Amino acid sequence: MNKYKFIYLLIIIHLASCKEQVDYDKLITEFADIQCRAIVLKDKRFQMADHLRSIEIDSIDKKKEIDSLKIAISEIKNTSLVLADSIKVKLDDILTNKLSGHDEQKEFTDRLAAYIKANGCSSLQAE
Amino acid sequence: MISLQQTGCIVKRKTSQFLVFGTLLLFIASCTTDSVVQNSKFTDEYNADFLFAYYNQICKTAKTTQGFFPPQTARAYGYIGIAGYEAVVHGIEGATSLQNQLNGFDSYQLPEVISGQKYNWAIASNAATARIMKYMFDKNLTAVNRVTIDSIETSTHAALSENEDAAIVSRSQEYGYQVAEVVYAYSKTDGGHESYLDPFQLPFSIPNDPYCWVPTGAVTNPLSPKWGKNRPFLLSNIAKTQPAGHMPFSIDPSSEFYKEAMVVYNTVKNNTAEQIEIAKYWADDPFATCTPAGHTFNILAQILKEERATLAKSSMAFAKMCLAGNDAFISCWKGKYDYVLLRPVTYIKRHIDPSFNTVIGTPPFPAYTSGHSCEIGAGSRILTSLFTDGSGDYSFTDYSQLQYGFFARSYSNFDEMAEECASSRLYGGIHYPIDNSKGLQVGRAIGDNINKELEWPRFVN
Repeated sequence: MNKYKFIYLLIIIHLASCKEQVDYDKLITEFADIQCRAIVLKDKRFQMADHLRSIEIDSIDKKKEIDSLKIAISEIKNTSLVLADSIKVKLDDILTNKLSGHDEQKEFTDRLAAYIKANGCSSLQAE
Repeated sequence: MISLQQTGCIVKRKTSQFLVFGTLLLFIASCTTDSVVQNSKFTDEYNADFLFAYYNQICKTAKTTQGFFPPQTARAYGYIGIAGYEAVVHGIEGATSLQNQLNGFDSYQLPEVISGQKYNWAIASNAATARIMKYMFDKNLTAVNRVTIDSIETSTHAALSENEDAAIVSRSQEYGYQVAEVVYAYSKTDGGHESYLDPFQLPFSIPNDPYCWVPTGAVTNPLSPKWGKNRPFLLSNIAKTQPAGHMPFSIDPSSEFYKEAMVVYNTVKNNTAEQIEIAKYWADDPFATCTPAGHTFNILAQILKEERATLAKSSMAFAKMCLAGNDAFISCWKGKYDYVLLRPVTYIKRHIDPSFNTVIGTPPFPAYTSGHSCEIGAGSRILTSLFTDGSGDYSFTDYSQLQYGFFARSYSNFDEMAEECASSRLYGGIHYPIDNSKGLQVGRAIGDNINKELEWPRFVN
């Protein structure tokens, strides 16, 4: 009788410890879209910075262009910051509630990077 | 003659008198400040989620507040960390206030906790952190950021006050506010008060010698030339960390200096895609960065959160990093303006290739030593002390830049992370190798000083 109780206990423990497998594909599909938007915005910010640097030397002649670029920079900065807030909320949810431990978190970010590199972000435009 | 029974009664009576007297003595002896710790819940019984929210907000505030460049931002973090720690230190067993440990802090009187009274250290921390944050950004704090800080404070206070005695709530909040007031008063005398209003500290001029810094972009004045004179939290962080000078300046192609510039030139010319990405990753952003200190704090907050660090450990961790970051920038800026060395782009365009361009923008201040390298050198030592046995071995993934369009980067050691950050400035074409190596050296020395020269509580995990 004790032997059966022990086996029964082992089964209960095993069932209780069974963890739901992480559906990485689902998580990545949900996240890749906004991550791509952030990547596109980041690339644009760095391109704008490069452009601004290149024309600032001739600032007198290019004043209008600089002023217009600075307005565009302000807009993209605001858009980027708002998007960043959304991404952080979603990312915190994924990292905290859907993944456990460093290994799963790294698996997610590695797969996300691979997915985006494989599919590209060119089809997604920043708002 | 007394009977045996009577003797027994006398002994019992004497014993109980002794016990009562002894207990009374013990009770009186325990009515010291330590009794506050005994009466109140310990700081490590609270979680630090609200603190992480504040530190996330500091980054966002620094990005969107005029005048907050790397030194100013590190300074803001510095005093915010002190206030947070002092608000909870009496609730941490074995912890010592920073008041008699930090340079000049002993001239200011922190509020005393009332003996025998209970405190809610989380409420105190919430009040102190919110108030000092608003003070540190004060005159340039945008309405949006002010409302956000107030909102975090109000919602946190409400949550922490639930089921808590009203007198404890009020006492704890008031204590937190008073801590913030004293720390703010301390901050006003360090030389950097309200520097965000005049970050270029004009008038200031640099000599015209061939080795000297000249503007590298539209910003024609060098940033915060007098920052190296600010009061550090530890005198040894400035006095004992200054690097030796760089190799002698020369335009001779056979000279060490020319070769140093050639390393920059060749690195940029031959950068891999990965190196370009690393340069941008650690530059954070051309327009909206919470500066090197902010990035390091984002990493620290992430790891603390992952480790489910308590309010006690988190408060100490932030305090350590805050002290290290502030002093790293003072020490680095002292070196920058002692040597006023021209940036690689200036030298390379003049003497190697006029068509040379950097990968990322060159910030408007001299080269030697690298601010990023100083800061991350200090930060890596703090992280090592908090999360490792001294080896620096710690596997983690930095998610903090994901939201800004970067892929997450993983490291297995804090030194490895620091080396990558320092190298990023070479990949970006904006620092000589010696700026980075000496910067790391300075920063590591500062981090080590913060760990060793100050008394910090020990935590099991």
